[in-house]
Amino acid sequence: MKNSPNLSCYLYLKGIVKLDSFDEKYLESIKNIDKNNVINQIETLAKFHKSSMGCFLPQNVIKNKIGRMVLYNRTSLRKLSLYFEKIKSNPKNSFEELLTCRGEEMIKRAETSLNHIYLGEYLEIIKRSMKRNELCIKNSYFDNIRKNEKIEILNCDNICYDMVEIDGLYLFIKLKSKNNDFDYKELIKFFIEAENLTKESGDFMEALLSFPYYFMKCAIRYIDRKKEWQEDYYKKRLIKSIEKDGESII
Amino acid sequence: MEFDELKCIVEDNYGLSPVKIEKIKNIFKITCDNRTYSLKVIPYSKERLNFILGAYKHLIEKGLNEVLDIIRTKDGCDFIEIGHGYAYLNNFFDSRIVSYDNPFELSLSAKALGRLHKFSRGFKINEEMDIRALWGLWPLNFKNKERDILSFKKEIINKKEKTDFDLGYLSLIDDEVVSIEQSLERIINSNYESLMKEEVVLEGFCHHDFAHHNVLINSDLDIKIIDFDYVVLDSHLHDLSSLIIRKMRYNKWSIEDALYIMKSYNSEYRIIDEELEVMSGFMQFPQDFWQVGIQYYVEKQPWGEDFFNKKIEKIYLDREGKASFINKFDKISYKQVIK
Repeated sequence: MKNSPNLSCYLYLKGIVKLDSFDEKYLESIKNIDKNNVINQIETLAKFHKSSMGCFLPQNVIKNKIGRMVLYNRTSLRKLSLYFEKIKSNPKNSFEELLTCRGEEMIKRAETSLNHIYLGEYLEIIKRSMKRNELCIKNSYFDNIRKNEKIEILNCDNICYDMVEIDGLYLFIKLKSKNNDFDYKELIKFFIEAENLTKESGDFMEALLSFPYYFMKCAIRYIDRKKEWQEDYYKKRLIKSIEKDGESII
Repeated sequence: MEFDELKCIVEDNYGLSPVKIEKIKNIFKITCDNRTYSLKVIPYSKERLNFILGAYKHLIEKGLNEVLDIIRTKDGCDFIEIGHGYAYLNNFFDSRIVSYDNPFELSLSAKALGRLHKFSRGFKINEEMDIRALWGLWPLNFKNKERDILSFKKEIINKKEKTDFDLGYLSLIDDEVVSIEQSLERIINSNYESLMKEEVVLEGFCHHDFAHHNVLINSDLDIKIIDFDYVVLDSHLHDLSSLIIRKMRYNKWSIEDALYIMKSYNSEYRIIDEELEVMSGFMQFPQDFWQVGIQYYVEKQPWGEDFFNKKIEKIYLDREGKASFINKFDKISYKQVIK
């Protein structure tokens, strides 16, 4: 479902403009991202959230995705755990061998991430987001949102109700995919300050960022065989995923 | 229905002057100068309307906050005739649909459901109502559905050219029939009969379509339950078990979520120990499998082969998770629910 013109109008009134593309010079400049760029992007996101929150539009205009990311992580974990139990004593190929070798550690890491979330202030964060009608852009990376005189965005089809923390996480997860070795604890701290959130939000973000997102994604792709890749290619992807996920920060 | 025709009906019956009328799913959103309303159409007989509206009005009269008040016509009537059916008017509730993926909204919804069941007690039926009742009929109902599935099997076998859906459906039938038999056995061996006898005298009812799109939430976090078209005289366990399934089907099975729903519900409507076994039997029944068969072979819904193929694949992929969930559900203790 595409977001309706109502949303574009609403965003425009809030000082957020939708463009068709960013200029070449800018696109070139975001090929090498440093810490300052990330800090600026965090400030841009904070401004976007501050300007856009409080909007109450019906379901057919903005989707409600609160809780989806955590739920997705939980279902991925369950699926992988079931599969892992099946293959661990008899891996059939090189991919499954690698999965059995690293699977237990990753499953444990995912469980720890989810336990931290559920034992923390997850419900309170949800309530805050609902009360303030927080909007998320979802694709919060440099190639979709930037700040000039106004906030400029390209794709607003994925704008939805969610917790502002999720936009920060999308940015950090994307940075991880590019193997950017930042101090994510520090960046989360900066995000919390820019968004004026509590320490509990920081704990939530640290826990969610420690989830082995890329490992799970690759393993689930193999389990579901949605992509017709050879086992060796899956194996290469899994090795890359482990690099992308980096170390847990909790 | 044309805008002008509907506008006249609203003007004549309610004395309102609509400036805009929009159709949103099964309601009309009617905007007047200073207020907005929703007109819900009930495309059934007068007797069916009496039952649906009777149950709905019972909840309003009992003071349930989670339903919208009905606006009466100039003549003091609760409904109007429209096309080949009827309709009733509410103030438009500026809201969005809840998401059962959001644990906070899930908890609010489960509590609202518990309150609905509590307030439904004491509903008096009369001869002018075309009632739907399922008291004590779950085993019979399951048996009838099993018969439907076996008739689909015959139909598929006799088909000369089988579609992908036919083959997918056929490959699952024997296993699903086993599930039905097990589900029936659980219900029959449980205290279902005596529980129903105790509950029927309370004269309550079920919403029977407690899907997330029938639960609305506004920015003050107030909940409203809408659309009582499928209301049925039956145990509260029917709605509660269905809510658990709705939340968890298609690979989201989780005993923690089931407990979370039951605890929220229990804070408004007390669950008793013996009911867990009945719920387990109800949840084991492959309702989705039966329903997609009805949609394909009986109703012949024009949703395309792709839709049905995807649906049967989803059901196939969900079976392991569901079976494992039912096993775990059987092991939970009553203390875990009320703790």
